[in-house]
Amino acid sequence: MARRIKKLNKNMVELKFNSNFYLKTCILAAVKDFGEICSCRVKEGEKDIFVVLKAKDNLDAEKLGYEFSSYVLGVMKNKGEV
Amino acid sequence: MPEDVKTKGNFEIHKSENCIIVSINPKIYPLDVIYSAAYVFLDRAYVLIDGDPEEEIIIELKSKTGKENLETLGREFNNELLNYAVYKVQVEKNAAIRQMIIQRALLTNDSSLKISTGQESGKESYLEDPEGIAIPWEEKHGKKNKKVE
Repeated sequence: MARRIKKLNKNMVELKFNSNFYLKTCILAAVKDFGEICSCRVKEGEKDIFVVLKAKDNLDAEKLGYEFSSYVLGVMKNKGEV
Repeated sequence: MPEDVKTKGNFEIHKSENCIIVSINPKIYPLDVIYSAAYVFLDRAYVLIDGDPEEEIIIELKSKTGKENLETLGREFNNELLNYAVYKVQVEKNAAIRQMIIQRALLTNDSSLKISTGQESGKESYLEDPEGIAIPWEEKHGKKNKKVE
């Protein structure tokens, strides 16, 4: 199974978003909203957008990653983009 | 393939990772139907979308509680896909009539499109009573005679 969420260390996680399905604007909106609980870095690949999240406090990084990806999907739907 | 991976129909169950991978043919279920079904599952599972929009779309569902039956989750996702696919077909079928109803509703109160009956001068007030309907019965027809017993 190709990992879409990769745990880098205890409080860091890398997410891979396929740009065919996820809009960059919605990912950036989610990054803005998650700014209070984690630091985020966005990299753009050829067909993927990579987001590295570093959890503040003692949050579970993997759970944070999954929550982030679900949040992006929610943003896309609520903004009426999809 | 690792031992804990079970394949059934269009899904792969990864028990150790507590997730299920659902493969979808985009020619059967369009992308907007997939997004809608995925959105419904957001409160029960973490949803990730990947794959090729032309060939095969892959949905990863990871249970939030960890107690959910993964196979049931996958099958319910398939049902949700079907539900939205049917909804989409119905919406497309009824698009023309819906448009007509909305147009009719919006035009109902447009005074410029009101059909004239010939009796309306536009100057009539609600205080005028050309038909005499505001005149009491007694005034118009006289008092009723009391029945003589």
